[in-house]
Amino acid sequence: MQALKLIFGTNISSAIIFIFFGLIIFLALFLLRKMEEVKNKDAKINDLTGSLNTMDEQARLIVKTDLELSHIQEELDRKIKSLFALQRLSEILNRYLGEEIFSKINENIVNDLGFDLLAVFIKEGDRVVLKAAVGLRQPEDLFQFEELSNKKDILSFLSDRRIVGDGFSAEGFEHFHDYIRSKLGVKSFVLSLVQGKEGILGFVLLARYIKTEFFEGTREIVEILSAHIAQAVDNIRLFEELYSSKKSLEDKIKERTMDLEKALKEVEKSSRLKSEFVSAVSHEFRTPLTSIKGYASLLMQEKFGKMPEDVKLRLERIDQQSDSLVNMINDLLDISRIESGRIEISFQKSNLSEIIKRVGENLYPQISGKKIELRYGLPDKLILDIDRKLMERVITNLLSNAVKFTPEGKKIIITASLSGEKAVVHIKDEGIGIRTEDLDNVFKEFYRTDAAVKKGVKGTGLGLSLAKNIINAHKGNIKVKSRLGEGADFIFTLPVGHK
Amino acid sequence: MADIANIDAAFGFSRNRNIETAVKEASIQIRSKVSFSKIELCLILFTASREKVKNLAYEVKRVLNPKTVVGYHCPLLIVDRSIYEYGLTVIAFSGMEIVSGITPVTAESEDSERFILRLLRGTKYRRKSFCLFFSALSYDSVKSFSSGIERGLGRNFPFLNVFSCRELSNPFIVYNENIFSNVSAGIVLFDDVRIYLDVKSGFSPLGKGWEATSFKNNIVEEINNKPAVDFYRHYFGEKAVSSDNYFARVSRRYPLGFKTKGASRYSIAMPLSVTEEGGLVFLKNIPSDELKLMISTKEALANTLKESAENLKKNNSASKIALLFDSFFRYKFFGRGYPRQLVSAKEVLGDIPLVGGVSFYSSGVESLDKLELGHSIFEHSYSLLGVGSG
Repeated sequence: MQALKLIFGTNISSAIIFIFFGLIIFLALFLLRKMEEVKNKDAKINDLTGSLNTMDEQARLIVKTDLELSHIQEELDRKIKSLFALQRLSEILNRYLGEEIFSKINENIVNDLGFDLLAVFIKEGDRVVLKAAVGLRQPEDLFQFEELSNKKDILSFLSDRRIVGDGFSAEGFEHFHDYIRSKLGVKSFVLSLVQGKEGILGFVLLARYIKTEFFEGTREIVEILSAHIAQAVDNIRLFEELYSSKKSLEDKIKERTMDLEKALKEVEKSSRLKSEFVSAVSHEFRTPLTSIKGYASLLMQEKFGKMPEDVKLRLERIDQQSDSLVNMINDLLDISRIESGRIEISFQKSNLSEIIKRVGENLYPQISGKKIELRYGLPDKLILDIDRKLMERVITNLLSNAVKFTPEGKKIIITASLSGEKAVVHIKDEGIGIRTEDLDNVFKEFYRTDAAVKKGVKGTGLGLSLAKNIINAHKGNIKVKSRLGEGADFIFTLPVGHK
Repeated sequence: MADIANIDAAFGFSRNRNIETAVKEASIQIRSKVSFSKIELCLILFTASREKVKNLAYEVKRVLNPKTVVGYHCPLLIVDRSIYEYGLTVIAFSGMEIVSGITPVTAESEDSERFILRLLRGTKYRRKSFCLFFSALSYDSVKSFSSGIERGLGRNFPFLNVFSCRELSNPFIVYNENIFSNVSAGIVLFDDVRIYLDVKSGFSPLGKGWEATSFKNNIVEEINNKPAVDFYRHYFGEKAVSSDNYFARVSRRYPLGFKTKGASRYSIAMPLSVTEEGGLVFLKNIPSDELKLMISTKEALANTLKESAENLKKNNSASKIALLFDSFFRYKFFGRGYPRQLVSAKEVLGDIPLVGGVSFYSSGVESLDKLELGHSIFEHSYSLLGVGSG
């Protein structure tokens, strides 16, 4: 107060008023400044809140994008997992051809496909039958479902729609829908038709015990799965058909084989009886024939008195015919011996070329009589293990045959050579030849070609048969190549070094 | 320091479908890898069902003759760079002293507290370094058991408790020759063992911070003074609230993160359900601190484990084995690409074997460096445990 008095003199109240107003002005200025500051701070807070909200808005956007990406990724992962499961399933279905394939589908595959339960129903006749159930909690309910499926003809229903279930069209499916859910205790399911190459084969039930929104690719996966099952069922059926036709073929073959074996035994028996009969009869023929020939010979020699010339001529014919008959009987006896294995072949090293030439010399009278040119194409030595006597008969039969059928002035060529492990002999003539249809028969006993009969060429029909039997007994083969009017080429082979 | 300081560890793995043959094969692999004179502990991690593992301990004892056998059932097995849906791993530890025991677990946390006290009885004068628990509990018992352990061991004592529960019905563990359900097996390690532990999720916070304004135990009733479920409605729209499936999907993929005082990172809490009033139900109590939406990518998850492996190598190069207990939700997050994170972790770990399994939850301390933060139940998180000589 004293200080105020000194400054303002006695007018203290004025001074107080001055100070008061001064303070008011100061406070007003201070407040204005503070208000400005608060305003600035509010603006800053607003800015910050705005930034925070923008940031949070961005966070929402990030979350939304991330969620979408993760959804795509999950879908992709599920698809990949399902595809791997399908691949595993396909390997199983391709590995087996019987109904055991259904037992090979395991829970892991079903789970990887995105389901808990898989049941396969396949048509057998007019009914669908449960073939596989994986991940089932109450099997008896599935059999009830099988019954219901048959009663309500589920296949007809599915044939139009192919796939029904949660997330797929299910119009008119309510009774199955409720039944499946309540009876099997599943929350989500899909039914898919199994369509084979030749029609509807059945259907597949895939389900989850928890409520599931099947992902976009589920339809595709289920379709592929159904196609795999259809192919497997087709394969099983094809295999069963093949198996049953193979079995029936085998049965038929077995039956025929038994018939053939029986027939062969009969043939063998008749052949044996025939050989025995021929052998016995031939033997019995030979004794009287020898007597006939002996008496004819004695009569010809006029041991019982003089014979008129015409009688002698006839006796000579009896003698000649007896010789032919003896030869025929000998041939028959040899054939039957060889066939029955009663003949003993005496193998010894012999020069086949020499045997051929000797036979040629023996038959020289007949060959020269018909002015036939006989040519040889033989190696100096062709040493084989053969029965010399029997081989002479083979060559004799073949060459005399050739001479018989070769017209005068023509050629007969005999060649022999080694070919690998075999000796090959050709006796080729320029005779009348053999009809193609006769080629298979010429080696049969008593078979004579029409041409031979017509031309009046004499023969018993046993020579070639005997030759064949002897060659076969030497483990060789004989055949003929010929055409009517173009001559014939008899070829036989003999093993080299056979013992 | 303890007398024994030569800790060794080895593992054997078999995928044989015959469990008895598998355990023999795995045990023989261990025998051929190391020449243990005395095996104190065998951990068996397996995927097989309860019926198949009756003779598990008997077979291990025949080949390796360990003092204690603990068998832990987990849905997936981790072996170095791979993950298996079927298999069996035997992990043998020698050269260390352990005390072990087993207890039935009820919803009463006092039971687990008593168990801890019983387990530690007689070890009063030994310095204990770590406790490892394997628990097969019903979902309801997880929280009470964790509180009991915390009280028994003390707030800052380091432990790891691996739970086999939730989606596995009737979880069980093998303890020596017996199989138990609703139990926890505890193993006390002393200071001759050197442990490295890192529990992480790989999730990061996103968006603005929120606050739990009303809560009761493990139910958050309101966030920012609105029904808690509005938190998810805000980010994911009405569908997140109207569809249970969608809510489960988004809450697994985008769990809630909360940060307690002093913590450097957010802990993960996944809402398990929504109350009629719109409150969010969690496995554990959620503090009122800042809440955020959490997000991650496969790369971020893989990199986090790689970082943990690097730290294990740096801080505990004496580790003989690295045990990885990963969360099933992290596994689901990775999908088919899960081994990617194992490959990157194994690259860092080199010769140190990486074995473990996938479970659902774990509890314990976050890290040995942050004991002051106390114990917690970890969701969406892995626990990497390095065991070596002290």
